[in-house]
Amino acid sequence: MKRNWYAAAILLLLILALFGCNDYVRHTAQSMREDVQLAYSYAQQSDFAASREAYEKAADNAKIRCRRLEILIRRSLLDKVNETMAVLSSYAQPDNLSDLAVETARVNALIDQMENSFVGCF
Amino acid sequence: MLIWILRTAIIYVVVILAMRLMGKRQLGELQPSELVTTFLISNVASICINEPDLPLVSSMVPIFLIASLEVLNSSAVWYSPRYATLLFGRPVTVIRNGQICQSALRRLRITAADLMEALRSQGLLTPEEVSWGVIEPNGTLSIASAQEEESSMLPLLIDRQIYHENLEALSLTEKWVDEYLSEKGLHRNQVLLFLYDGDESLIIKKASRKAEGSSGRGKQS
Repeated sequence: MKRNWYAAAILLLLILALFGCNDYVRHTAQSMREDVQLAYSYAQQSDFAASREAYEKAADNAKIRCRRLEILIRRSLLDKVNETMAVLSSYAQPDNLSDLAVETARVNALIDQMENSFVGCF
Repeated sequence: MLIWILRTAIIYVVVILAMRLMGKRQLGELQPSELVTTFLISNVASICINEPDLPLVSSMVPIFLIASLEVLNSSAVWYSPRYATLLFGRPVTVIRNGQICQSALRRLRITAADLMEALRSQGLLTPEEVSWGVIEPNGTLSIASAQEEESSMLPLLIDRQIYHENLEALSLTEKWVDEYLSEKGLHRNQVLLFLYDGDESLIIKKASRKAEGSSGRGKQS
């Protein structure tokens, strides 16, 4: 009955991997949200140069994180997050604050969607 | 295109590993639950090949999950004959001594034409040529030809499960089985297989883990 032990070991591994990946996705999504929020807070303080830089850094970080998330999450969702992140720095201008607010909210919603696609039940 | 090739190769290896984990049982005649498992694995495997948008784990995790559950399920079947009966069903006699059991056909929703087709595939043309015909849980027809000189032995007890149909056919009772076995110094739980044809019997005892199983043929006195 070696097979039973193999099966039980695989089930245990799957459960552990699921919990591990769950934590990883949550943590990654939280870090992405924090990056975006930091960049947006600079814009709200009218420090647009720092905001642009922070948005660019957030986009670069997101690209690296999404590459790792590709084994867990549907690629189209990750592409959308990256596309939206890439344009955010262009909105960080004094006369574009309302657009920046809209795009920041959009990217937060996309990160939520991305997180829920793995973490959500049913 | 490269990603499709890689994914297909990975899924191919994963499916082979999963089938290997499930063992030879999965490659023989399929029982209902095994058929479901095989269908599910093939479908889940194809999802990831057809849709490169989906992560590879969306196929790999379900394949290993299904394979593991199937292994544990088949072990549960081995340990519990009642569970096996619940999951797979039992063989049903449809022809006895050349006579078609029409009530059994109705219960199984098998038409006479289906039965004749199954008989023809076994090289027989009429039910009269069959002394005992059984529809197995996997849907195949097993027959004992009436032309054989020896009468066919019917299973009365297989791994704690009494075959009441066959007891009725031989005009016996469950009590008779217990008495017969106790005459041989055995209890029902110690017997793996008990076959009987009204004259001769074949009893195979359950083997302990270390010892080999022993069997004995006896003649009813």
